[in-house]
Amino acid sequence: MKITRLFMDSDIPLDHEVQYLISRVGLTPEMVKDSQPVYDFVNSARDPVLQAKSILYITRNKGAVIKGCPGTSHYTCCDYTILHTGTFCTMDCSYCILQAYFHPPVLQYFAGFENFARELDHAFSQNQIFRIGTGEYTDSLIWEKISLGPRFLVEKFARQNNSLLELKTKTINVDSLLDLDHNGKTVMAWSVNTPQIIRSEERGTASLVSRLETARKCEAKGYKLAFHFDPMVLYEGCEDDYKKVVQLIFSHVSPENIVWISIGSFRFMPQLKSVIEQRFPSSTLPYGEFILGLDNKMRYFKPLRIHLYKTLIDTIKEYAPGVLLYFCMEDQEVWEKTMGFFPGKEGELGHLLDKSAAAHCKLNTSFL
Amino acid sequence: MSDFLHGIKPNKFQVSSISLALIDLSDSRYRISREDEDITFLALSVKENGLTHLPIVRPVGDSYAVVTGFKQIRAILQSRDMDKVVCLTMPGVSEKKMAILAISDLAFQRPLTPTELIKGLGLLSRFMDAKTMAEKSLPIFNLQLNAKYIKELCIINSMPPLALELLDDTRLSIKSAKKISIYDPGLVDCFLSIFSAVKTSSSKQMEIITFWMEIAARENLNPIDLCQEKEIQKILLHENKDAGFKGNLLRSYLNKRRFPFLEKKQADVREKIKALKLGQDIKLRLPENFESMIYSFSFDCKTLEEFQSRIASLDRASKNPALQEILER
Repeated sequence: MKITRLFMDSDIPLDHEVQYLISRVGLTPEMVKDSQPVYDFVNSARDPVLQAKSILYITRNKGAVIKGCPGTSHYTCCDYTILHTGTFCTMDCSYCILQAYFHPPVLQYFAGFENFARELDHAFSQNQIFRIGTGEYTDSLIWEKISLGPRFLVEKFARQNNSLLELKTKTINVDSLLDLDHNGKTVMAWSVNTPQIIRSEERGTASLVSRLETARKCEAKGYKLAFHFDPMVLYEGCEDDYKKVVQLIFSHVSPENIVWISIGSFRFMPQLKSVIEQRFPSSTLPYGEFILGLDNKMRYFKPLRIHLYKTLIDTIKEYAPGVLLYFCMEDQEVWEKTMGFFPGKEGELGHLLDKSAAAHCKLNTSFL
Repeated sequence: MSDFLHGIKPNKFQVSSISLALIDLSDSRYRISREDEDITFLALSVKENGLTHLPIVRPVGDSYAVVTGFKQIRAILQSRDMDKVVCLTMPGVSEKKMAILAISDLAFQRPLTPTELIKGLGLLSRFMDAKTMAEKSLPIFNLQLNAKYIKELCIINSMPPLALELLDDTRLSIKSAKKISIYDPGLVDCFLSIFSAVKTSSSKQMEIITFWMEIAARENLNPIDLCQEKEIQKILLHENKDAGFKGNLLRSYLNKRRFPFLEKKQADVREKIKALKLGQDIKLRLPENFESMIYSFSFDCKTLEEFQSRIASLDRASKNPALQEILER
């Protein structure tokens, strides 16, 4: 999606970071005193979500820069830490929760490396392992071509030993990062799906093969990798298609360099359904066999989830028996019936992931 | 009188005795109420007490169109006592004003039915836009309406007449009518034929429409073709004439088809619960949609004997393989 209008808070200093960004966007920023004109412009459109994807708002993060993943009740969370570098996304996935999560969604770039540096230094000084990612409220690499942000973060993380940075993306935007001295502390991660789902539901994203070729490039440069089968979508023939995705992953990269693979099926706040129906009228995604989950999100009927997960896990185990697999927001029954165990104690899943992070990224194991 | 006439000056109206033969009741341009209301008692009242207020008519060619007082004129015709009726005519008063009178006359006697409201808006939409109607809605409709809602109701007014009939019969709610009004005419007809055959609450109508469309999307079917399927036709043409019964049958069928695995699981577990023979006194509550793993058993008792009897039933159930199958899912 091309940026056609650039807004910027008038009190943001025109330092190197911001000048670089503006020059790369190639638009003169419209200075605003607060976010209201941006919200008004987004809301004035017939499709505010689409409109929001074409404007960039350079602002500051006025809330928490680093925070724990909100997770949801009744399902096991991985205790991830979110670095809040921006919001929303230029790509257009039908299932994206951000369409319904923000009111309205705005493509924000949070400027101010010093702000992030201060908060990260604080985390780096703690005696604990952090798995930190920027891909919760946005895609980690959508601005890689026009911003110094990803580069700054990779280099920042390279100089410490208790935290891992996970850059999660559906793009192939890695060129500025390939030759950096990342010191093994950055994990390049891709959301993966079947070609059919990518084609029908993930507008503007890179193809599966492109993502995996990019992963191979990153691996060659010493980056550790991760993959996220999330959201898995049920459709006729999906099991075979997901098996092929697994085959394709391991024909591109080596299991030893994969820090983890996460798995989760499509789940959504009920209000997302009408957004998908309006914005993606040909999508049948919301018409799966969904039930209201214990966290008040719609989820596939549990036996269907379990069946799909089993197929995927068995296939992954054939290629990579040692790779750490985990579920994003699933419960005891799902874990036990598919993985054969359940990390049910508080922090247990997080600890498993910390161990894998420490082993792959050479973090300080005394913090485990 | 001046209130009833909405500020029309006295020199603008005339009181005339008009031959009933000249009043064209089939001219329904100002009619927003139903034509088939029972007027037996009104006819009796008119015969005994006369008219309580005068109908308004408007000359159209050689005859008169009724603006207000359709029922009164029908009542007079039914009583066959008179060949003339005293009416108000308003030479020089605009058609728009007449339309307003037609609506507000009814709206200030009693709340308008959904169909009357929709027909009223349709009548008025010939003279003003939705925004103006919204601004004037209180003095005309005795209701505060917003422009968006008015536009939606005007769309319903453009649906086939059957839609308004179903609205009148409470077989179709405004919410359901709004939902189907956006579909192609063929599909609108399909839903109207369904709601002609079944009767359910508004929320269940919405469920039927939603599941119908979702089944068509899931199975890559044309939703109109779904209506012709044997199973659906069997329900709609079921020998039991009760529309509520057919509504329940249809909902149950659609639910099974929309959620096939969940429905199958529920049916399997129901069978297993039967096999446990817990009796009427012990309740087994299943986890909602089988998402949670928690099953709860409960029972009431008044005496120690009853308590012991329930415990014995539970003990027997615990040895029944069906219970293990239920709990192991």
